[in-house]
Amino acid sequence: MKFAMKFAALAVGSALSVSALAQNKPIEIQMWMGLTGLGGETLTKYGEEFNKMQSEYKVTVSFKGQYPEQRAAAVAAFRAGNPPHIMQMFDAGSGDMMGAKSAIVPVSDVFKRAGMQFNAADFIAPARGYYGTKDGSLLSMPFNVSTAVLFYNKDAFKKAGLDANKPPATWPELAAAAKKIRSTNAANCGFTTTWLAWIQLEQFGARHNIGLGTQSNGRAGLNAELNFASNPAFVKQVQTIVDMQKEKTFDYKGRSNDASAAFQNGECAMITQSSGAMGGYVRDAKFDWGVAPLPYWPDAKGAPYATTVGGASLWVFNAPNRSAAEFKGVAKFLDYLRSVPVMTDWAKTTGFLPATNAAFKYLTDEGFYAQNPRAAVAIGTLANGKQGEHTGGYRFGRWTEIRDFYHEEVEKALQGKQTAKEAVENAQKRGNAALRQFEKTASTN
Amino acid sequence: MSAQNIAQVDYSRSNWLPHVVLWIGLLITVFPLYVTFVASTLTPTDIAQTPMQMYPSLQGIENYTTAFTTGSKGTYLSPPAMTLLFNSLVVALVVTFGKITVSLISAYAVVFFRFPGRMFFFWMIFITLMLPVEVRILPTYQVVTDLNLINSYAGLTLPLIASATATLLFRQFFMTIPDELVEAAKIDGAGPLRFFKDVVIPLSRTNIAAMFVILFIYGWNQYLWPLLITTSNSLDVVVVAIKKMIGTGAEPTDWHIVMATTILALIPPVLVIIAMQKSFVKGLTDTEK
Amino acid sequence: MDRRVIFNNKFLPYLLLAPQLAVTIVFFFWPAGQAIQMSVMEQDAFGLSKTFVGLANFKELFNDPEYLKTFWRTIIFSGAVALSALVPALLFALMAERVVRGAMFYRTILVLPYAIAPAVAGVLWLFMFSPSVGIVAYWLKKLGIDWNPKLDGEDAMILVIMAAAWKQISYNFLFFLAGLQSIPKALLEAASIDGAGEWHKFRTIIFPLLSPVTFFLLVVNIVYAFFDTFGIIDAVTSGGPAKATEVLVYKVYYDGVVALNLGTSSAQSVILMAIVILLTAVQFRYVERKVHY
Repeated sequence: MKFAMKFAALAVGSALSVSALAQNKPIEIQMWMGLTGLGGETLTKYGEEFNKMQSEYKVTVSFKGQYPEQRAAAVAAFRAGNPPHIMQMFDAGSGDMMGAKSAIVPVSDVFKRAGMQFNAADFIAPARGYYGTKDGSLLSMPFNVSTAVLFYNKDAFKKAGLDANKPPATWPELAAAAKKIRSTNAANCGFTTTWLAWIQLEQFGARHNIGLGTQSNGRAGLNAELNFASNPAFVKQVQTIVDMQKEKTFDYKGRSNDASAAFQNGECAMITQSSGAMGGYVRDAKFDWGVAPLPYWPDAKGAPYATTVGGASLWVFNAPNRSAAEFKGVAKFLDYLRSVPVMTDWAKTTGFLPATNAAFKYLTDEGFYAQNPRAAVAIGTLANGKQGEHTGGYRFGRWTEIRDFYHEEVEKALQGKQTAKEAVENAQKRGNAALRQFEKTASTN
Repeated sequence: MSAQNIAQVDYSRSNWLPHVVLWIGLLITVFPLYVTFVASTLTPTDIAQTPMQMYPSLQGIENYTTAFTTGSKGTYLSPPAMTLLFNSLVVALVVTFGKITVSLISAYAVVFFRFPGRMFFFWMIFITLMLPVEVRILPTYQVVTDLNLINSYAGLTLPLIASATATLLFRQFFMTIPDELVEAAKIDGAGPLRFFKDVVIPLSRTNIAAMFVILFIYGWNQYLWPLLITTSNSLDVVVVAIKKMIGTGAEPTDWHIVMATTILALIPPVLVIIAMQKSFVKGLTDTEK
Repeated sequence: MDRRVIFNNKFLPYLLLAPQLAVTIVFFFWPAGQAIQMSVMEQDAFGLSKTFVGLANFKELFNDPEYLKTFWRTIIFSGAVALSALVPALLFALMAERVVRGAMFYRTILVLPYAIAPAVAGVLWLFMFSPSVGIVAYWLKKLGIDWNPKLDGEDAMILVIMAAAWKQISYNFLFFLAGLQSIPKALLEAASIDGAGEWHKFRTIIFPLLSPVTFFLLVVNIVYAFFDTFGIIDAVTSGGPAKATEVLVYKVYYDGVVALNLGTSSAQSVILMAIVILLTAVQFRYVERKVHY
């Protein structure tokens, strides 16, 4: 009896919620993001502000876990026919998204369908190159653009007797500085890094103009093969980190963004990190710190080159039950996000780079970069650095997983279970196996 | 004389030894909880101090207020703990009552009736006994979406009701009900439903109480399923939210808020287990033994 | 296992069974069928293209040294969790059985971890042992122990084992205590009169009489370590570093949900389901036997 009642109650409850939904005036737009911290906070705020500005649409920005988890949740939801309207996908997931043509609607089309003007050329060149197609339209809308930089603790530098205004420019300089910091005990940890694969493999490759794979770094075809292990520079870099770890001048703090806290609380004196972390440090770090371009190897030919674009872009999902009105709402919200006031506020608050030329110009004219030299560093290496064949980014399928292969193999090298060379070679081998599988499943649709 | 002495020595030794060992046990049990509690009453700066101080501070009041009414870093990451606790409570209670009801009647059918297909159905249910939702996570997700139950309390709870633990336990217990009682009931002209209501349910009280504790805790502590099935964080349960608040973000974890939320999340299941300890222990060990 | 006296009714039993069957079919058999179907397909992450590949996914798994390693790792992990949850639990139960004063107090506290979610238990231990803020990590450092679960696979493994065992001691404790209480006092007194020492009594009387409970608990603990520790592992290590703490159920999740490798993930689900059903059968035989005597 009780049971029947319970089920009746459930049935009535769900019926009510369905009818309530039908009566709701504003059209719901779901956006999933993978940002935490200040970035997540700020992006959520934009959703709320958009809702206050108009009553036709109601945007909900939700956090579904860091990028890898969020992507997984979105794909599962897509398979189930119920994906979010907009998904923030980090750089590594781009190859997968581009491989799934019928799952997404190119953002250029979204605007076209909504009858709104959209010009790919409005976005800054590095981002346009990364997320665009050959015909000049954009698949996704660049939003939080970042690149890798070096943050360093000026107080710790002074304590160690180092010049706080002359951060290390090269890896040997960085190693020497870390050594000094440790020997003087200016900090408990000399150097750490976030996003191991992104910084030590992808950004490192761009900085030295070395490709990761064939077919123009995967942009020219699904049959691309990884070949980074054949370049000794990557092995040398892993070896450097392993050596530094042995002499306790480098501390490994985990994948993704895990090491960030160790810089912010003063434990580590230097960190290679996404420029998007700047806002958090501005607000919460209790010491004087500076930003420097990502270090490079002085003996590498032509180095330093520009770093490459990172961060995430906004993708629009397709789904059988999506109405034109919903797509229109999506376009309206994206339009709001790319507007100059939002973009400039975003760049100022978080430390991400402005994704549009207009916002960049506005900030420059306003003197923001002149007054905030720390914020100018990332723009300097990304947009104004020397461009080469391999600075424009890569595009491989299943890159999220391949990054983890790299993480795992380097972790094994750091544990002393294999050499740096083996680590890089194994990562490449496993990566290629994943690429072949991707090629098999992706090329048929 | 000497035998008496030995006995005395033995007695006194066995008097302190168990207490010492048990205190070690208590320490192991309580220490992680104590550290958590202390951390929940400190400021982030105090927590970052190594070593962290080991006694609580008054900052706790503010931490708990923030956790309860605002959540970690505002609402974007997770709703305030009051919403989270409410969601957890709904999930725990629906799972508990749903599963107890469903299991009681199906166990009753299997034990007190004989009908074609009985063993087939019994095995069908039984085979699901230990298969956790983690193992079949993706297909279950697909099914729940096909049924349009995603991001709803029904989607959160119904799949968790599909497991045979309670059915099996009630079945074990029902088999110990003496045949004489059934005979007596039949002689009195009582039908199966009256027997169920007047005899079986009252006899099962301890077992139902034990199942209540087990299932409440099971429902309250769900993790992977709620993580996947909710698409808006206003439906998040507290356990999932705690994991989301932890440190893989762009800034250091707000350990003080995380710890305060953790303590809040511990209170309901701990209260349940303490309040119903007697029947829980009895029901659990009697049925499974 | 059948009763002698039963009720006769043609429709009622089906009606009573219906709800349970409905949820079981919808949320167990249907998904399980889908898992089997998916395990013989190769498909892209979005489900846009599917091809039948027969048993290729299974073949790939068993040829993958990583998968076999995960198998071993899971066995070691489960064994360690079971052992470190059973031995202290037995010890505490033996002691608790002897105390008169405060027995209720001890039991109440020792039972608490049972109420705590695996993921939350993971968070508690993660916090204590976190190299940057953890108090225990600090003590270890003072002792000169190089503790870094973020990098050292063994440290990470130790940490998840401790957290998993800590949570499970409660449950084992209760069962051991109940088992001890059902041992006839007269038996032990007789042994004492014969001059048997504590250890002798334990070895010859207590432990043999506890063996059914121990066996039952062993199965329960292994199942717990196999599946219910997902939350702990996800909260503490996410399977890392370098897969050092990736057990079978975590790999199903990682391959399916994170790496979106649906074919092999489903094949793993199918293998796990077979293992669970096997373990269930083992436990069931035990349960049935108990009811009979």
